[in-house]
Amino acid sequence: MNEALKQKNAKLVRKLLLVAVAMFGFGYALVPLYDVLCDITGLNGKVASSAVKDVVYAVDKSREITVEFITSLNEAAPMEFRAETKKLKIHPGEYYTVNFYAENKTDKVMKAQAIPSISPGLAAEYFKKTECFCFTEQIFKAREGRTMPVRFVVNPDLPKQYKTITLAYTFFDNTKIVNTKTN
Amino acid sequence: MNKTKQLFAGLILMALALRTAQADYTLNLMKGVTKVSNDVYDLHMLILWICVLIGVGVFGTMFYSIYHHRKSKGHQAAQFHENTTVEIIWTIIPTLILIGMAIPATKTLLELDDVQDSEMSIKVTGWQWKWEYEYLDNGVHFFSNLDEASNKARQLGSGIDPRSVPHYLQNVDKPLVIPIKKKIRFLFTAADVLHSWWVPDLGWKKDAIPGFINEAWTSVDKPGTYRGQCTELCGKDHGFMPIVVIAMEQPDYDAWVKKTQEEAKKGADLSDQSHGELVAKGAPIYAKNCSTCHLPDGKGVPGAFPAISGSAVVKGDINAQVNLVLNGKAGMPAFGKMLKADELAQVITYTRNALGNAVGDDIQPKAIQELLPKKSAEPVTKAAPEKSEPVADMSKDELISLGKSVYDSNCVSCHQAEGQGNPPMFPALKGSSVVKGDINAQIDLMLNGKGMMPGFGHTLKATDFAAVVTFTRNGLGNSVNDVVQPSVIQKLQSAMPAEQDDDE
Amino acid sequence: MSAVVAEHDDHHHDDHAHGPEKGFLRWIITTNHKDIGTLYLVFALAMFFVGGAMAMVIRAELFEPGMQFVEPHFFNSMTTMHALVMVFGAVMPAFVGLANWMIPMMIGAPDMALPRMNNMSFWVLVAGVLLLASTLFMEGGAPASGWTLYPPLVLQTGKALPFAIFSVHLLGISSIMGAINIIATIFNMRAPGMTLMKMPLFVWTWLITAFLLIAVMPVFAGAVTMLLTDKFFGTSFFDAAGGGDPVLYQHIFWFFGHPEVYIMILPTFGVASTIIPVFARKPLFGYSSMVYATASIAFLSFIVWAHHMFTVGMPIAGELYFMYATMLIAIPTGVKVFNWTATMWKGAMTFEAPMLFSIAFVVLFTMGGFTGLMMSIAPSDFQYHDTYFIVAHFHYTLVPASIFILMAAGYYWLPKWTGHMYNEKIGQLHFWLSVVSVNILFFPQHFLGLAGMPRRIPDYAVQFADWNMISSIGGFIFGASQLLFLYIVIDTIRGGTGEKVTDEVWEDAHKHGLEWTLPSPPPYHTFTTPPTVIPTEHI
Repeated sequence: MNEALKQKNAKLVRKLLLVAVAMFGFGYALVPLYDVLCDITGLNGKVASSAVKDVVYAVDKSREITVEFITSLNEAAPMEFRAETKKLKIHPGEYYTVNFYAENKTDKVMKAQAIPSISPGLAAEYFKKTECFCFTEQIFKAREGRTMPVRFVVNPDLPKQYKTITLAYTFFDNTKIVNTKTN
Repeated sequence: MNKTKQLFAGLILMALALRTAQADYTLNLMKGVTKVSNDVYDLHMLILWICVLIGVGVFGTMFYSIYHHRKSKGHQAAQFHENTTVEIIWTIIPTLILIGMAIPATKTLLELDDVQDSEMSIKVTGWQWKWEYEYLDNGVHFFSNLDEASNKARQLGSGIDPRSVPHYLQNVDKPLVIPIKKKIRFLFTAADVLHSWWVPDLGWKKDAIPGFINEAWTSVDKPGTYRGQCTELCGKDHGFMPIVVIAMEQPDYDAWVKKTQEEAKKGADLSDQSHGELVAKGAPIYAKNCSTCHLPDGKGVPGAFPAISGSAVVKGDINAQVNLVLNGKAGMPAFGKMLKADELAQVITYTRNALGNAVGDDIQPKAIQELLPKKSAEPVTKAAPEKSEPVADMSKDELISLGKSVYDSNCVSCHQAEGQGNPPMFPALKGSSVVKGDINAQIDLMLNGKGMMPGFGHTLKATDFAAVVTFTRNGLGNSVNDVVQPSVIQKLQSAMPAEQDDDE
Repeated sequence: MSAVVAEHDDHHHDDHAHGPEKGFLRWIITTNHKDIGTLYLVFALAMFFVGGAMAMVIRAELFEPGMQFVEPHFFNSMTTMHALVMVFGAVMPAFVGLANWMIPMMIGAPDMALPRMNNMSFWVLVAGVLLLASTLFMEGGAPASGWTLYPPLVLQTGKALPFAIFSVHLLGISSIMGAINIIATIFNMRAPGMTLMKMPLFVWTWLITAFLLIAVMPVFAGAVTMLLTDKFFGTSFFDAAGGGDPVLYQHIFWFFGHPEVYIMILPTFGVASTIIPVFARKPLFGYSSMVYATASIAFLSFIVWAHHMFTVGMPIAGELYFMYATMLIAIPTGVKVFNWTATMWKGAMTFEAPMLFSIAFVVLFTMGGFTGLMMSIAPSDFQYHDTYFIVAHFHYTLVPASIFILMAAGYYWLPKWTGHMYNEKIGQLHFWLSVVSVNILFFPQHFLGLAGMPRRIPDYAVQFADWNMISSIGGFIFGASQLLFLYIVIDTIRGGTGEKVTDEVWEDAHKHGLEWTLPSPPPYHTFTTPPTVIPTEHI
């Protein structure tokens, strides 16, 4: 093999390796891209994980939407968790507060994170929460139970076909995860 | 040689024909029992026939050529190698066919997607390896496991002929019961790994994903029992978590709901039982709820599921074991929610005195009952505070101490722990003119809200409301030194316009 | 590789004209494209039997309802390992082996562009597959979450998880090195006059496949790395508790996974387009449209991934988009099938084993294509998804397609490689047993899926018993038939029929490719000076 060809090959190899490395990076870039896509399309009913600013909407009294609240515990987390309000009929544009009750059933301090999910997914972007226990990790003392409010408003721009929105929370027990990290 | 080729061609064509000619249960897709499932079936048949026709055309041409254009018959090879016209035609025609397929497919897809205007909702949770059903409208709630006969027969080397088991692997202990001709919305989630809920007769499947909810709907046309299975690989017993749906006429369904609700209320039999009785009754409960992971002989699966036989937990303090069984730990589910007190007492006693263990002690249902969470009486909690609840007057100190905890769970996130607020968004309460001013003005503001401040009139109970008002005026560095009693608040609350006309 | 240089000095001073090393060491240190091609092919054949043995375990357990032989967890390990071994250990290396042997000979190059990297990529592959196989003996067993390795289930794997992930990294590195080598060879090593549009289609399809590999293998490596950090380093890419999403993994996986299935089928198209014209004694019909169709299939493969996930609950717009995009694949694929049919049309066909396997490929791959079209229809896919219908579909596109074409390639080029003719009678027997049994094996699985049998289950309801038994019988016959192929390969290497084959082996084959202008077997080094005559048959 002559030198010119060797150099040509080496140049091409470098370019192709660069492509491979870039594609590895692209795999990771898919993570934030996916989140952006979720925010835009409401894929999976993902909702904003931090509070939105209070905005005053024109309340649409003529329209009524049923909001359902459901709760789950992942991997049978040793907790009690329920929505004190299971169902609410609301007007878009008006602010409402509902309470959830969660209790640590163990004798140890527990760290738990609630993950919200909204169905239908496309309604998620119209469902605004100004206050939610899901924004941060919750710490429960041994056997502690408490009532936690969620304050929300449904943007009146919500497309007309949506009459029922379901807000689901799943509590994940993060205590053991936190422990592994410190080990 | 020619004969074999013809035979081959014949076989292929026969196979293709077989695929459609016999619309038998075991060969073709089921039509199902909903409008959507019928639409899906029609779509399936349409595409299948189009494929068969294209197949007959292409394979026909190919086999004609194979038969006639062979060297052994002395056929001379032509030398053409392109024909632009032909190539354009066979690009455009498939495109048109595809458009023809896309139209009905889009229609059916839109129909499947429309979950709105449902008449009832059922939450379905996938577990390793069972399904949990919660009827959101009437509070009926239960787990659905593989039935016991199938479970026995499916063990490796059980010696039981699956053909002798009715609906082998497609039967459950508690089926999902639904009314017919009602639009039912399903909400899917999972508690551990991915699952997927599929009943072919309903015409779709939907994934259950931990932390997320998915929706789907059905409206069943005729009463009957419809069977399906989990279709997303979810671990070792993925093949053993069937789904059975029984669709009933509305009155039958109503009767079933009533019966189920009564059974759930009945609760556990709390009478004391003898040691022997507890152990004996514990065996089938173990077989049904524990043997999947800990294995029927209690040997467990090393690395994944600990053994019961000789286990330090089982041989140790009974209260520690009870606590573990009730509340779960890591991969172990909390059985406090799934089993009744008497069942728990029986199965715990069983594990301590069988499967190679002989601790010799037992626990009575009554002792377990005390550790179980109190059942919330009504399945649907009212959003508005109970208007009729009697409220007692309280002392200032009582109000302040209760108020502190109400404050902590309702006000802290904006007004902060010390009442310092988070200006300019959230005003400080410490030294606030509102708090130091007229108590009625403050109550009015808190009842109805203002700007970003939510109204708490509908969400806090009168007692809590009075307590937190009192706390803000006498805590957080303020000392106005007045109180408001719950009864005052209750009157004000009942005078408020209803926030929602909730029929619940 | 300094060993190579040292060895040279012992018996030769001419760097290029030396023959192979003597003895076992030849196979360890070789940088010769023919040697490495042979290593790849032999390794792939061995893995084909390992993966096949796992398939036999699966079909044995499914022979009858009830659990007879293995625990459900082990069954899941078998389905997972069967797929991983077949995809990464058998089919992909086999095509890399063919590429190694044939691409330099087809484009008139003396060797691959990067011979030492070529050697390394093979041994990295071996290490990766051995590491993967070793997980079978680890505590908690081999991965049992399906070859797609979906979280959260895959995170429940025992001790094997980090080893399985590391083995995926090795397999990825090996594939990427192989792909870079192939691209460099095709771009820089072509003989004068061998323009891109004069290259045989096998070279074209491999060029496109190599680009697919470089584009998607790193993405898969990234996805499994995320699994690893989720499990051991506290990240939460796919864990909802930390704000992640298990469905995200599926998106990333299938962004790799869909092109991956085309990585296994595009070279298949190339081999079929090489063999069919030779036995039809006609030029390939529509050469340039074949090239464009391959490129469009490769392009489409990047934008259709979520059709594997219609049931995860995508918004309606997403479902519609992925449905339409997937349906589009039917057009270029159709063009290819029509072109093969037109190539046969008015030819003067003979039906030796390579041609038989190629014709069976066209027919049975098309049937797999039809079921693929059916599954692109999202509402119907809500019924088909994760049932035996899809098992039937992808096995039709892999076994009687990729595997059959690999068999065809074996029969087609074995005489060139060894200089001996294989036993045509046994080859014909092998074909007929294979083609009949493969249909007995997979066709009933369509019925099972439509009737409601989910995939990846170790036991089933009794109404599925009959077709499962038939399918298993087909599987056993198919498995046993492949031993004939093993026999033929060994027999041919050892002399075959004893018939001395000519340079072009097949009638007028010299018109179809440069490799047929070389002696059979070709000398250890070929085209050290570029050839001047370029076959033009396919243009």
